[in-house]
Amino acid sequence: MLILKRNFLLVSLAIISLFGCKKNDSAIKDQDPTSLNKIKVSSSFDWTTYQKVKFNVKGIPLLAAEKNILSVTSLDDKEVFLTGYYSMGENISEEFKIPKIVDQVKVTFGSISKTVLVVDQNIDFSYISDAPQGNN
Amino acid sequence: MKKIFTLVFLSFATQAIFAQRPVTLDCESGNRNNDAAVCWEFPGTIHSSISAISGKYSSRTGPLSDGIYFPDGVKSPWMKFDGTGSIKWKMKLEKWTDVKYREFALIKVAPDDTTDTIFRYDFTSANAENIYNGNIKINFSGIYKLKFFFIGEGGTTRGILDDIIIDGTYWSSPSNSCNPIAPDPQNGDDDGDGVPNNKDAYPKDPTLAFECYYPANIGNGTLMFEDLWPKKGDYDLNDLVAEYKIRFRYNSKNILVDAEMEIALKALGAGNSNGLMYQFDKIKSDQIESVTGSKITGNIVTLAPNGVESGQKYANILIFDNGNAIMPNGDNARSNVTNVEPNSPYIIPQKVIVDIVFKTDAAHAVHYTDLNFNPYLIANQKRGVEIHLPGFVPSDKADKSIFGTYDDDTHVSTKKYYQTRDNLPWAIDINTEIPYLQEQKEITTGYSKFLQWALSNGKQFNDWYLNKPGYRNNGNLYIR
Repeated sequence: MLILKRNFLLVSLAIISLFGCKKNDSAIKDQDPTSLNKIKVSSSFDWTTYQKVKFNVKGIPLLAAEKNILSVTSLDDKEVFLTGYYSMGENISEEFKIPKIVDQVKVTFGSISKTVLVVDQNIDFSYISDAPQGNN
Repeated sequence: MKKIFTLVFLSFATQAIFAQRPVTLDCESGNRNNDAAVCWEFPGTIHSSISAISGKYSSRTGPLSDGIYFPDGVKSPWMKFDGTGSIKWKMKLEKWTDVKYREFALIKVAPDDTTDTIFRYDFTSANAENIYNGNIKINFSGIYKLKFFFIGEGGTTRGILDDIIIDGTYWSSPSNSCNPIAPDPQNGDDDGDGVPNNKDAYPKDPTLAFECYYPANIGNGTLMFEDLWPKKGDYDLNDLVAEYKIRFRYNSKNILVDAEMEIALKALGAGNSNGLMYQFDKIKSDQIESVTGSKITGNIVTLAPNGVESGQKYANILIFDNGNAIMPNGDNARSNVTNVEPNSPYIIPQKVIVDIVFKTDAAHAVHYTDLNFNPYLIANQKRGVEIHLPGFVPSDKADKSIFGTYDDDTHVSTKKYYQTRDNLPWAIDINTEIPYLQEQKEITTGYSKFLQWALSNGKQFNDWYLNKPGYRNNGNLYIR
């Protein structure tokens, strides 16, 4: 009985794999891309040139009030995606849109400036850096 | 003048009141980087659990064998002293082997780099490994940082430092290269909004502090529509083409104050008379104080007293209700068709500027995160026929009975909106300015990588719209 059940399960899985998702995938994959009218795209495709990103900043314990302009820009500073006046001590979570082709941004807080990767639609910024050796 | 002085004074007085006293370092953060973020410096030292004096971590120097020119230790942030209190610390050395000498010095450094040694201590083989409890009275005033430095020669003995407690007020600015906090008369806060003049985009206006642009401060975005929904069209995506740029302004609390939507109607490649609206999907109609500048020529859209469309839960902003009414016909042969035939007269794009003022009280405040633009076309003067970007929700005024008819495969239950059964769209939104298609030229004939982008689920050629070699066929694009 157990063997029969197992065989039934295997046959079912085989049928699903043949006629389930794979059918859609191959239909999309094997198309002749000559016209938009003749194609089928994935249902998960969003047709957008933007990505919604979450900008996460972990505040640090402060010994004095420290507010400054926090900005997220393109690496060449030409495009400003977000700017505002924030305290270094507060946790920040802001959502906004940037072009999908942007995979790195520059985050600046006063004299603190870092290049940050956009990873899985997240921009994680920390005020903490590798400590300089300092002058003796 | 008195007002400026008072504001500057208040700003720094507030900072001083908040500033911590005493300033301490116990190294229990476990990583010097955490303390360096608030302006401690660690030349030649790391936080280490080896030979820790108290807790899990102490500050541990290098081998101290380099002589007096390379002392190792800890430097405090800038601090303000008032001649009272004390400086306390704990220190010791590791094993005394082959050492010529080891010394400790506590040095105060002024902002002009002048130094003054206020304490010295000579270690010996007899006392080196004992914990020394430093404690000296503060008899000076002013702004200084303190160096807790070990120096020495010979052997590999390291210095250990911990539990520093300094009776002074923290006076460093981590976001200004850790320089001392200093009032700058040139950078007061004229409007008193808490943002210094040099950081305030509107230093004379207490209601405004910053501005930001969407999609960017340079360039515009491009909206391209087909207008035959729920039937598929010819995918030239030029039935209505508009460029947009939105400027947002905030106050010092990062609350949105107003927005200026600058929309340039560039082309009308359709026989229909279409309108353009925006729904702000996360902003309710009553969060808007006023909307001005909408081009209303007919009666398909009714505005509420605050300028949003009446009867909508979320703020729906009319840009124009009929593109043909605001843009002259540029095609002698076909009515209502403008700027899509290269041989027809070019009509200068019609700019519409709509100003939105947001409520800023706590109950209605709008933040940047609340912005979710949902532009849509109103087809052929039928208010219920809305054509949105794929995946974007209809407004309350949309005629939902059209969903699922003809080529449309909208399913509210699965949040599939404005796509065909093959998941094709009726509109696209580009984050920059691009040339659109000539009449009846499918977008794929102008943008060579568009299909690969779509078929790869966006994994390939997500830059399909850029002007790169092999990406465009200008012969099918409308370029002026």
